[in-house]
Amino acid sequence: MTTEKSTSLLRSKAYVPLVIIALLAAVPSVTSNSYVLHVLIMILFYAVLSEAWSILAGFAGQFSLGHAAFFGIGAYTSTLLFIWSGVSPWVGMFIGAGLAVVLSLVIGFLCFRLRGPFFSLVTIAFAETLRLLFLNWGPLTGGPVGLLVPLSGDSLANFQFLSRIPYYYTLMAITLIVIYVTYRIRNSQLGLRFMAIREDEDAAQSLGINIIRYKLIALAISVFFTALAGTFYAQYLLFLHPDAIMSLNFSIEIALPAIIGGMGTIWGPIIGSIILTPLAEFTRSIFGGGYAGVYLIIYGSILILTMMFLPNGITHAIAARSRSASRSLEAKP
Amino acid sequence: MNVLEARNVTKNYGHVTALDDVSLSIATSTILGLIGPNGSGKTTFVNLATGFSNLDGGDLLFNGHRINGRHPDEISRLGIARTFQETRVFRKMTVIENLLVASRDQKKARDLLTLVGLSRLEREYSGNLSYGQQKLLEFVRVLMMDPTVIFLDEPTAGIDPILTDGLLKWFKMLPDQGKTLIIVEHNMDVINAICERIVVLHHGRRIAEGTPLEIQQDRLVQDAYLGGA
Amino acid sequence: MDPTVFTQAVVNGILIGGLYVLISIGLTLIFGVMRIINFAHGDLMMVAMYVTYWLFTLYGIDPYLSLLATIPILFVIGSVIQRFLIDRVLTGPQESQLFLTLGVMLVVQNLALLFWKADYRAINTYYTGSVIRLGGVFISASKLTSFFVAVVLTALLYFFLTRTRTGKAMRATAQNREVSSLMGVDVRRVYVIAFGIGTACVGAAGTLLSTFYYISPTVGTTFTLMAFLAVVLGGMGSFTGALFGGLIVGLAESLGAVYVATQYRELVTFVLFILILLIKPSGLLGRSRV
Repeated sequence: MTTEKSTSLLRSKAYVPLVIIALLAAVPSVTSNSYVLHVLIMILFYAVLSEAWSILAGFAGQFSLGHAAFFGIGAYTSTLLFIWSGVSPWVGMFIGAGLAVVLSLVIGFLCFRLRGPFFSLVTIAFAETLRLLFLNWGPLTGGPVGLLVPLSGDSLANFQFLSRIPYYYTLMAITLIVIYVTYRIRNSQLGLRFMAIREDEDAAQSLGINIIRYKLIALAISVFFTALAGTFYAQYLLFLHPDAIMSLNFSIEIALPAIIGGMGTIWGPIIGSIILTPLAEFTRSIFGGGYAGVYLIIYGSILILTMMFLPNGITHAIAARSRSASRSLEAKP
Repeated sequence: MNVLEARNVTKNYGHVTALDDVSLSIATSTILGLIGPNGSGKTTFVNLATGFSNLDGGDLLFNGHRINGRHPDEISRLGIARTFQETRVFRKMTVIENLLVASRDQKKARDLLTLVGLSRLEREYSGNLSYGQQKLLEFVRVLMMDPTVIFLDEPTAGIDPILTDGLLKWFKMLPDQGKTLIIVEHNMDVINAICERIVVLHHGRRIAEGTPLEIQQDRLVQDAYLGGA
Repeated sequence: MDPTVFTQAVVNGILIGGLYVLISIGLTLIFGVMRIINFAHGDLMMVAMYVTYWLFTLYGIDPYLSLLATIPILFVIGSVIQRFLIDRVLTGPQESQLFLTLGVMLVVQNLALLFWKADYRAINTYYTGSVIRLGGVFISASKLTSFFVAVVLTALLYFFLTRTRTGKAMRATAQNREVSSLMGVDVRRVYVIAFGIGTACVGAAGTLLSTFYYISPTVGTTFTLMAFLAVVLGGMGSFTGALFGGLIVGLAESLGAVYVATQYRELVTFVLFILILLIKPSGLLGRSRV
């Protein structure tokens, strides 16, 4: 019955990812269209961010609306280290991630005892505080004018390329790592403990689980990858501004693919990004510069509709439907 | 040595005294019954002993060491486990996943499931289980921790007689493994069937302690709780 | 520390505080009755500000007069949002409700950006900029009038909540939904009215604010966060808490404007917010009904 279903699912899930990876890797040899590559890069970009966010939200049940702050720390750290000391962004990336993780642990330690919406509110407050600090700290971050990443042309050492293709492969690698990490978590006791915390903190404690410690672990993993993505962004777009990358809007954009696609799953955030990101890019190309926020109207509407009709996200809805379908098949005499 | 000891334990909730200067000693490898009317402080005592509440006065000792003020997860890791009055299985996780949360030992998990007859439901979501099955699951989940002391909070409430007999059979096996059970119950048949000693609480005070026979005949207990003999 | 400057700041703080009270009461009412954290609160206020603006610019209707329009309009908008959107998620997990109001925030804010652009607008009536002098203190006529109207509206709301049947039903539902339902209260209707009134409050505040504050699609977010600060300070779900919190936030903002450098003003608000959430999330008065 259920045993059969589980093993057959496992079998099919094994080759699907490999096929996808092969397809993704093949794209640049099929097309060198810069725009297509850009859209794919953006899809992967939001997939990485949302998958990382989902580790904290979907697994441990803590909904951070301030992840943009950690993204910003990653982006600014590697960029500033590059500007000041010529440190390669490949190295700066990990230093930025480390800094972000340390800060997040402090914040998490202080805030994890806050319940549900209060935790979300305090993450917003922290993120806004950081954004305002960065916005007003001219000498450090360029202030309201923003910060340009010094151009190095085509330089592997400086993590800058003239073609989109190397960016694409780099991001693909990061995406695969994040997916793999999520997969390992999901299939380990760590992941089970995260889910236990999300379901019932008291029961989890009664089983010897130190709630704060596990939430901090989830937070650290989540923030690490968020900050890595920040450095990637800096190297890809070559311009940083606190209002763009450390704002509440961006924090929401990070969370959205996971919310729509399904939190606490491996593929949910990715499916979410595949649906949402092209919509945003397409909208942006239609409406142009004057109406930069139109895609947010679409995002907001999708969010509202999803919460009303598919509150657990698309992947959970599909899973539930296939479960009830197989059960009704079994029920037949 | 007593595995668990309460010395002058007091707990207040605002103006209400839930436990008033309660002292009791629990020997190792026994089954103790904790009974009393609703509001007598039984669940409060369980919460204090397992770290879900903090004492206002007195001491709690586990194998001679003070455990006052420790967090629930610490106490659980020390070896004191509990079940809850309302079954709290992780509904969105499967049966076997519920057990693996406590310990990674897959063989042990499967053995326990076989013991209580839940093997075939291993991959079923525990939210889909019947009430009785969930109570069973919660019981074996606790055993995954290999605890020294287990508090069972109304383990047979709402359970049919056949399943109750099964549960009692498994409870009785535990002292032989060096475990101590403390059962909070209203069902006197259950208490009398397996408890070696019984402690009676009333208005936050210990009013009687003894064997099932002694308790049945105790006038104080009859007046407070059991009704006529 | 110049006493006149200080007094001026305190007076301004109380005047703006009156409006914050109105905004906060709306938010705390919604939370108190339905346990909903309404992220779209400030953006609905922004909508009222624009309604006021267009009524003035196109038809010459004085802002204070347009209250007669914005209050009912925002009440209807709020009721519709509750009835058709929020009602559906009330039985689900709390995060769904939060995300839903976030979605409403995104839609409302960006629709406004689409239609009306990001340019700042202002309402210029014959009394805009006129100032009254009391002792050594200068008071903006608009701020003063808006303050008094806000006080009147707050008093009316208090009267409604304590003296009318619907108001009492609302308070009963806030305390215990099941029991109220058993006692014949139409809980769904109460929810719709509560959200409607909460939105009407913030709508009125928006109209009053527009007599001296600039209008822009992004104005809402700041006020939503200010309202959250006020409500958390005073205790979520508490009417008196909102009164207390609103005035405190008004005073803090006004004093901050005088004594703290411009770029750090908003920062002060957020740091305050973080501190109160970490130290005393039930509010300074400890009246939270979370």
